[in-house]
This record gives sequence, structure tokens and C-alpha cells, in this order.
Amino acid sequence: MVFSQIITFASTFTTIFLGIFIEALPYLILGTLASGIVEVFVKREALFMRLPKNRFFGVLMGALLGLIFPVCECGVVPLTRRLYTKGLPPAIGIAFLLAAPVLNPIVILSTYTAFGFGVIFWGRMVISLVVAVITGLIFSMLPESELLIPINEVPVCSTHTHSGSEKQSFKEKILQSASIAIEELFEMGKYLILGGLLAALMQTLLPQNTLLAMGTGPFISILLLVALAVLLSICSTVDAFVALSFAASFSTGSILAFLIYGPMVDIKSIFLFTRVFKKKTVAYLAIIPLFLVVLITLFINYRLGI
Amino acid sequence: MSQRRFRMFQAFLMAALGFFLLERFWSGRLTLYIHQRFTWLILLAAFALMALGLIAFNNRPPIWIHEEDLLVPKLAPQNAGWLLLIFSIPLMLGILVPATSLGASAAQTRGVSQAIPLSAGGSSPSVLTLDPINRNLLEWLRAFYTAEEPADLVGQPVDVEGFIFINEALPDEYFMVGRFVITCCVADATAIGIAFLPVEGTDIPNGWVRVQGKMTVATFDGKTTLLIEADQVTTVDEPDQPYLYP
Repeated sequence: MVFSQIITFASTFTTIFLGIFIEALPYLILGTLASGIVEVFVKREALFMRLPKNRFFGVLMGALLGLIFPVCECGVVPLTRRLYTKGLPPAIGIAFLLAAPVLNPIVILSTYTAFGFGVIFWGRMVISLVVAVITGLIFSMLPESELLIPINEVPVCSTHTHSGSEKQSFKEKILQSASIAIEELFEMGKYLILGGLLAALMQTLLPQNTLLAMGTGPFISILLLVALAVLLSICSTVDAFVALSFAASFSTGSILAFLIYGPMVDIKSIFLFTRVFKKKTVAYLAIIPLFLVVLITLFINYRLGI
Repeated sequence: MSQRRFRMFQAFLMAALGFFLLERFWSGRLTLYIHQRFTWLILLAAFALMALGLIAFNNRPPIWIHEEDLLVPKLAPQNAGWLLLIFSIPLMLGILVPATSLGASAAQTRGVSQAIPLSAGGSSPSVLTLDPINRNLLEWLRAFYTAEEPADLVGQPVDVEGFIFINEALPDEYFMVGRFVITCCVADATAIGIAFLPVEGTDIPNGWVRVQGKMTVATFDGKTTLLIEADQVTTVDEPDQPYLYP
């Protein structure tokens, strides 16, 4: 009896874990490939020159950068880390990190497909932008050394690196970005796997319906769906379809909270964050958006009278 | 661990993971984990992994590294062993633990949803015009929620497949037939189910069944739900596609 229960538990756990892992893998690979390309092809000075000098516009630009780099929350972390080594100011990177998983063409399209142009669609886009910009501005008041952990430069495995480092052929450059992508894939993949294991464990032990049955009040429903978003750790490119299944029974504010906070922070992204930021920063990165999202969506719930 | 050996392990792991994904696709088991519309994305990832594996293998450091060539370190990073071990977890789990779809026991622990996933796009559901005998569990529940008079559904013939599970809230003679509905991957799987009342004396098997009978409605705890008056409950093989998609 006990033995068969263990088997059932193990297979359910494995299925859910592999579901999370396999679904996130293409996006992680995309992010690491983008990171490799940025490292090899983007010059540090070129990036610096295009950054606005004004703090507010810098952060705003960071938040909108996802429109050019279409990445979800798994891909955005390696890319941000790479941009930091190219001299991107931390605050702009944080705004990018928080907003890009929502404000990018793929997610805009999937949100529209699921909900059409309405309160949910515009609410998701605008509030994500506002939360990312405010959080970025808060972090811009802190010195860089307090936020980031130093990145140790990974050696490049190409055997060609020693021959003429200034004039690399295009093929060598491609090979080099692939090598960097591989390094990133293993480093970031580690956190995706650990985060996925934890998320699968929580899901196997803690039934989703117990959580959802706890209440649909204007405040409780927000907390519940935020908790669910963190637990589920599903990719932002598809979470709109998942949210659709709650739309009938949950308040508009809580659906928005699910769609805004989930892409910013969930179990697997917290694990990925620890590769880039110091522990204290990771904690603030989870708490500040949480506070803002709950506050704004609660206001929406009361305004809409739900 | 030497840098060379580390690279070769990395190359092997990436290629193996790529092959693993391809194997799951060939054997039709990829959809145990994800919605079928992401299949192309996973195949792309599989090919990318194999290509990266090939690149890593072709560019492994040579056995002999010249003294002056300090750009290629002799030793792998300190946590190399851990990296490789953690990266092999998905592979090991995938190979060692038999691949199963979420079924009755998962429905028991996850609970059954009352909220029915709406169809993506929100177009007007045509479930009501569907021939009742062709409706699956999800379509029955949708028909129930969209019908102006649920009583209209009473008496219609039912022929559905699903797994058997027990709902503690119902009296002993009632059983549930259920399916999991997934919108993106199994992480968001929600169980749905309809209660059925077998003819007295019917032996109710475990696992996957086909339930045939007539639809009716019943009230449990003040809530009106669908109920199948089952004439026949037969054991069937698990369908190739165990999940339903909204």
C-alpha cells in the first residue's frame, strides 16, 4: 500500500517536473543563445552611448526593451546578466527583468488571444510597466556594488581563441557565442531544474483546489492567485491561457495580479535571480513588486466593485 | 576534473537531452507533459541541444595544451561535478520513472475543479449544437454551464471516456468519471469530472473506462450538477491523448 503510494507520488511528481522543465527549456535556450550573441557582437561602448542620461527615461527604456528582445522570465535572466557585464546600469536591468516577460510581442499576442482588448489586457500591460519602472527607480538609488554579485568570466572553450583575438572571422564569432551559450545553459539550467523540482514538489503536496477553495473575496482572491502564480511557475508566454480558467470564478483584480506578478517572480525565477543579484536584492526584488501589485489590483477590485 | 573531460560530459548531456526529447516525441509521450501546440517548440529545442552538443564536442580542448596557451584553463570550474549532476536530473527522472499521465490518484490529491476552463479566444461555444453522443467530458460540462435551461440536457445519450475516481462528498453508490484539462503543460492541469450512477450490482473497475448511459441532473448539497445514469461501464485502454484541451 505504502509502496504503491510512493510510486504514484513519484510518477505524478516526475510528470509535473518534466512538464515545467520541458516547457521552459526552449525559452531558456533562446535566452542563452541571445546572451551569447550579445556578448560577442554587441560592443560595450555602443550600448553605453544609446542609454538615456536621465534616470527616469533610462528605467522606462529598460522596461520597454522587451519589445525588441522577446524573452520570457527564463530567458530574461541570462540576457540581463550579460547586459550587466556590458555596463548596463542595475536599475535599468531590473526594469527590463521585471517588465520584459510581459511587455514583449509573444506575450502581448497570447494575452490578446486569451482575453481580447479589455480591462485584463490593458491592465496587464500598463500595470506591469508601472510596477517595473517604480521598482527600477527604487533600486536606482542604491549603489551597484550592493546589488549585483560579481560575474566570474567564463573561459571560452573554442580552441581558436588564442589565434588573433582582434580579428575573428564570423564563423569564429558564432562558435564563441555558442560556447558562451553552453556555459549559460548549464549555469542557468541548474537553477531552472532546482526551481522546477521545488515547484513540482509543492504542487504534488499542496493541491491547487484547496488553495482556490479558500475564498474569492477582493483581498483574499488576490493573495490566492499571487500564491498560485508563484507556485505554478509557468512561463509568461502561456500563463494567459491558464488564467482564463480562473476568470469565471475570480475577481478581475486577482486575475491581473496573477498575470502581472507571476511573470515577474515565481519559484524558478527566484532561483535564477540568485545567480545575478545578492540575496538581499533578490528579497527586495520579490517584495517590492508584490506590494505594488497587491496594492494596485486591490484598488481595481474596489473600483470595479467586485 | 579536467576541462577537456568537463566539455565532453557537457556535450554528451546536451545531446542526450536532445535525443530524450526526440524519443518522447516519436513515442507520442511528449504530450504527457505539454500541450500539443508546443510540440514544434520542443523539437526546435531538441535540435538546438544536439547542435550545441556537437559544437561543444568539436571544440573540446586538446589533450595537450601548450604552456603559452593560458586562455584555455586545464581544470574545469570547481562546481563542475555538481553542474553535471543537476543537469542530468531531468534525464534520469525521465528514464527511470515510468512516464504516466496524471490520473485518478492525482485527481484525488489535486481535487476536482468546479470552474470550467473556457475556450481560448472566447468564441461562442458550439457545444450545444454538438451531437450529444460525441461530446467529451469537458464539452458536457461546458454545455451544462452555457445552456439556458440545463434541464434541456436531461435525457440526452452519453458516451464518454475518463478515469474512475471517488468523490468523498457523494453518497457511496456514486462514482466520478474524470479527465485532466491542460492549457499549457501539466503544471496547470485541472481535473474535471461528472458523477455517474451505475446500475446496481455493476462491478466498477479501476482506471480508464467508457461510460454509456443517459444524462440527467441531480442536486447534491444544494448544488445542481450533471449526473450520468450509466447503463454500461466498460474498461478501456488509456487514450493516446489522455488530456483534454480547452
